[in-house]
Amino acid sequence: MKYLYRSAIAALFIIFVACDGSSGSNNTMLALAALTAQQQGIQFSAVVGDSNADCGEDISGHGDSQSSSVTIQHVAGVMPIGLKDLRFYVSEFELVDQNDNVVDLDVPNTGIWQYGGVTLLDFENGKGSCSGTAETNNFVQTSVENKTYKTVRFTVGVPETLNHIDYNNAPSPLNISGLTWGWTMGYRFFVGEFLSNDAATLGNAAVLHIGSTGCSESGGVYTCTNSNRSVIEITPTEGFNPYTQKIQFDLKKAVAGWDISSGSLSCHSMGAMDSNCSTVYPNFGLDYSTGNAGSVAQTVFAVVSK
Amino acid sequence: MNKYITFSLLFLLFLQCTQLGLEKEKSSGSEGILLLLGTSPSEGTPYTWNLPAGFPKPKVPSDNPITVEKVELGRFLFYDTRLSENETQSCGSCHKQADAFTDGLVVSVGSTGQSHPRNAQHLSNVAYNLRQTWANPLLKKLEDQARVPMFGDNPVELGMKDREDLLLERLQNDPDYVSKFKAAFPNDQNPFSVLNITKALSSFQRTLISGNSAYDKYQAGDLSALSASAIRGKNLFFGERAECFHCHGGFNFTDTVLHTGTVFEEVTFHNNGLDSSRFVSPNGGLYEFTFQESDRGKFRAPSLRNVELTAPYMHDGSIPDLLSVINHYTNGGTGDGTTNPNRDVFVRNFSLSESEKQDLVEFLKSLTDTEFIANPKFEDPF
Repeated sequence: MKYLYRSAIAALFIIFVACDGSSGSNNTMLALAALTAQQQGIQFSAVVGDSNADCGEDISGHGDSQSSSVTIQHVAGVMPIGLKDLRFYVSEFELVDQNDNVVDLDVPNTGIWQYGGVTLLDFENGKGSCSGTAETNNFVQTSVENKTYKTVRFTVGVPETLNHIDYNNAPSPLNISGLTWGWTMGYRFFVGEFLSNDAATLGNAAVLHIGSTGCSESGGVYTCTNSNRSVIEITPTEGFNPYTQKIQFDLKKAVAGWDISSGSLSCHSMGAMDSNCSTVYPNFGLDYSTGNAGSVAQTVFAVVSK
Repeated sequence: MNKYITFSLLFLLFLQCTQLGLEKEKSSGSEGILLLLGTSPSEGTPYTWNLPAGFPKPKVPSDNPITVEKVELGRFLFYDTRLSENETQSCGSCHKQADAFTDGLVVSVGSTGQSHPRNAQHLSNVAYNLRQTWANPLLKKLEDQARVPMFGDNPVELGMKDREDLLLERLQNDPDYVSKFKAAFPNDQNPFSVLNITKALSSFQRTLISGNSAYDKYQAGDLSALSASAIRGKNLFFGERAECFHCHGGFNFTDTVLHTGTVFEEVTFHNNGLDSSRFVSPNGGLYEFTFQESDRGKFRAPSLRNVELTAPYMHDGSIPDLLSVINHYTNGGTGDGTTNPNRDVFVRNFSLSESEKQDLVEFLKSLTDTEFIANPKFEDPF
């Protein structure tokens, strides 16, 4: 009963704050975030190496050590970067328990971040060099038990059944112009962009956009030769408990192999025209030539403590 | 139990917000119900086509019937620089009426200064296009195409990605648009939406019909409308020596058209023998979508209506004038394009005298419709 009152007060508070029409969406998000703490689900975070992937400030401390004999440049080495965009769709969540039972997670429609089993994770807040909107989301709201699972699985992407819907009329989060890809009548599953804030290479940018390509349409049915959906499977030795652990995305690992110290780099998932893609796709466990997942182990997501 | 309570309270919250009209995009659910009941709501004054002789009726998407009010709203939106994030460009910036709605540039430049990989297409008779843009097989409707310049970021054209709220706010704050949107979308509780912007823009673009050139007058029986040279050029154009008509045939001088009588939608893209250096990223042509090597360098044959006004030519604007285009074709292509395995079978070396080339140019110039480029209905209203 106590919980009911608490929820009722919280929800009423939200209705008043969110619906007076003048207080803007920030309050809605704050109030929702407050409520999220009580919700079940899977939490995400985003980092760039040792630093949080935060908008509006220099992100540094992510470069690998350089010596006279070894220079490994990740996120263009040690240069400070500014985040421009970091958003991606996740879907098809599964947990595998200790008895190898596979639990399909039901991801409800929330009207904002979740629709059709797809959640938009949004780590840009429109501040500083970041594009997009002030609202952010690091949470997949879904019913999960407080226990340790063997494996967590999910897909980075919008399932094919939703990938070519009319996004003019689609519910949120499938109607956001920064994630829709009008040119291919589909979605960008992953959008990660940053630029160098280093004086010597100021403005050199990295742009990574992943979405299905090689698409044709006939009679309203789309067929894409390259799915480009990463299937992420994490089996930590200590297991995964969604109540105590979260899934961490590392932008540094996502662009491992890219060096923007000598010029901008981009991958728009457009086949052989995008030679830079083949360097970074394997970081997501994707084969760039086929767009298939599973050919190599992904390195961009890991389970960490909350 | 607790979670259900929380969820139902959250559900209530969203219900509340919807009732308070805070949802961003209008649902078209009510229209659907009305259609099911067989009582299609009036969407304004039906637009009456005033088509040139021999022109079939354009096919209009069933979810966007063309009305006078939408066309009028679309004309304002088309020329409104508020459609670009930094308020420097409109659709009309790259599609100028005096140039038959292209921009005269080799490749267009977006609102932030970024060059587009492609030459801006003219918009004469765009209502009849089976596919929009140079090589995208997926962009069929103008409504879908309109999203690309507005929200695309590779390249940035109008730069409105993630700025829908700003865009709608700008328009909503203009009383003139309040009445225009209401008139154009009388059944919508809140007519301001991205979808309605694309519907209005498309409606206006569909009215850009050009069919009153000297050639059309000649076809209609005014034999004095074409010079002797243009007539010789016409015979070359439609003859088996030059064979231009294979890709540029029919009333719209292209090989892919859509109208109400279209039963079979034949979609064709051609490699016209340009040097393969013209097909480098991001100008792979149809290949960009199919990843088939045999599609590399294949582009849509544009309508030749008003072609005199739409220089420079080809997808990348690489050919400056009509005589150079004809030389490109008589040569069977340019550079290594002459030996490209994808080269269209109709692009092959053939000979024309210099005067014959001039005749062809004269014929192409006879497709210029001066009434079209001076029509006040298409003019910038600002």
